[in-house]
Amino acid sequence: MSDHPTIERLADYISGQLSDDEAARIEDHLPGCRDCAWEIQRRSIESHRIVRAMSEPIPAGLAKRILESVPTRSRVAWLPLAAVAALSAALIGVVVWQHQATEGTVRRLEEQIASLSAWKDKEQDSASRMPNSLFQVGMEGSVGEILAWAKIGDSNEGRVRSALLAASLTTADILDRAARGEIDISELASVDTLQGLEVEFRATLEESEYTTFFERLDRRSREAAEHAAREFMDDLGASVEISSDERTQMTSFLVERTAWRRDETILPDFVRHHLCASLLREGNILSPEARKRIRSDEAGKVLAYLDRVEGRYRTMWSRMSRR
Amino acid sequence: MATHERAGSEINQENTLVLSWVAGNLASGEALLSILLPGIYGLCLRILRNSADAEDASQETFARLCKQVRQGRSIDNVRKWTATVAMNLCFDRRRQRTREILCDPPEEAVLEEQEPLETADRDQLRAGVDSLPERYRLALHQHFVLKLKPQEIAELMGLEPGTARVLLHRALSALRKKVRG
Repeated sequence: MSDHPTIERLADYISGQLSDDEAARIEDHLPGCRDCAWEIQRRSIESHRIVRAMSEPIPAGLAKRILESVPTRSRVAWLPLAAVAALSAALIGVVVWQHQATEGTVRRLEEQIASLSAWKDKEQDSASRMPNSLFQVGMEGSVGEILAWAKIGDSNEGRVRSALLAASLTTADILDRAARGEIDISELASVDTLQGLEVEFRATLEESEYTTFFERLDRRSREAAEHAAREFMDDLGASVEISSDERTQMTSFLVERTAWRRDETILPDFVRHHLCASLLREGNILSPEARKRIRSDEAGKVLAYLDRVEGRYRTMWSRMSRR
Repeated sequence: MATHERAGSEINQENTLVLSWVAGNLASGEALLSILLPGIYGLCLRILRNSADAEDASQETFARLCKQVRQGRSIDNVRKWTATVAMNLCFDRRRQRTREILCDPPEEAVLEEQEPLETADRDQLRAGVDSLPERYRLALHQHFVLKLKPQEIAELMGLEPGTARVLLHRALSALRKKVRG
């Protein structure tokens, strides 16, 4: 065979330094080439041995000492179940819908969310269950980040934190249900749990705190939306050849459809990407006018790509919600 | 299968864990330490060669990490950041202790690609690693244990981008040579 990867390429493959495409090329090559497969195996064994030889056991108690010595922000006890249910119920009342959403969608979502809160009342361990999911850890991290730039005075910080945590808990709940196939991701596209906080904050915060907070929140939401759209289109562009015009249009379509969301700042990356995929599938790509613009083979390839990535996101959902 | 890939999502996860830890969630701190502490403590131990000093340096590293995040400064790659801080702390500490300096390894002629080590046992390998010049030891640790990318290793070691691969290649060849005798 004339197209063996070089030794250096194989080493890069083992240490995970290759791009997906390059790695895929090697993986295509391996089954038909015993020499390269053998070389990979020997190098993996070597790498494994070196890792083992170089790993040092951590002294007993070191991690504990570090945890105890590091001062953190106020220790947040997880909200007791009753408080969670009450806060979520309050929030569900103020969750707003994107105004383009059809009445049917709104009604379906209202039903789903109503059943969500009923489910929560029934499920006694939901408060202790949720914080363990990776979703929750991710959401909580985002809340910490928002608080770090929010410039909220000490007197109001506790209230803002509770409201943000409750909103993110509701988001995590909705995501969890979506992961289990109980809510469709495309319907999730019209819900924004953080949007509803505005009313509550206007009543609680000082005028200047309120203005700064929402200015920043809006800026961050927009940045997050632009970032997610760009990343998604980069991935798409790397797999499917589409014209740069088409790419620009799809990017601005995605930004336009998502920049209004304030919860972009707390949603995990792959959820934002999943939203992009489902928005493209529903909107741009399939609309009759878009079909006129895009060559049919191009549209077909994009759709095949969306199928592929949506499958991958679904796997991530289930992995994320596994506890 | 790639054996030690570190995907972008992992980098994000580490960053998220720090934020959550600093926000008061100790479980996140514990999770982060279980991921990063072995590599950071090992790195300190490779430089200081004394477990009490290595413990202090790793503790100080994570204290600085949390302080940085608490003050609202953003860190885009927690793993690289902690490795950099740990290395600087260890070199400072050692400088106070002795006048040892981080020597460049003697420039060896470009080594032939050697056979991978499939049979050496753990003790042989440890002894081999310990007898290598410091830059080689650190580069191997950063690559194999901390799983940093060559670009990140170059930044940590103050090398021109692109030369970390050469350093790693030399370190690995030297290790194979030591172990084979």
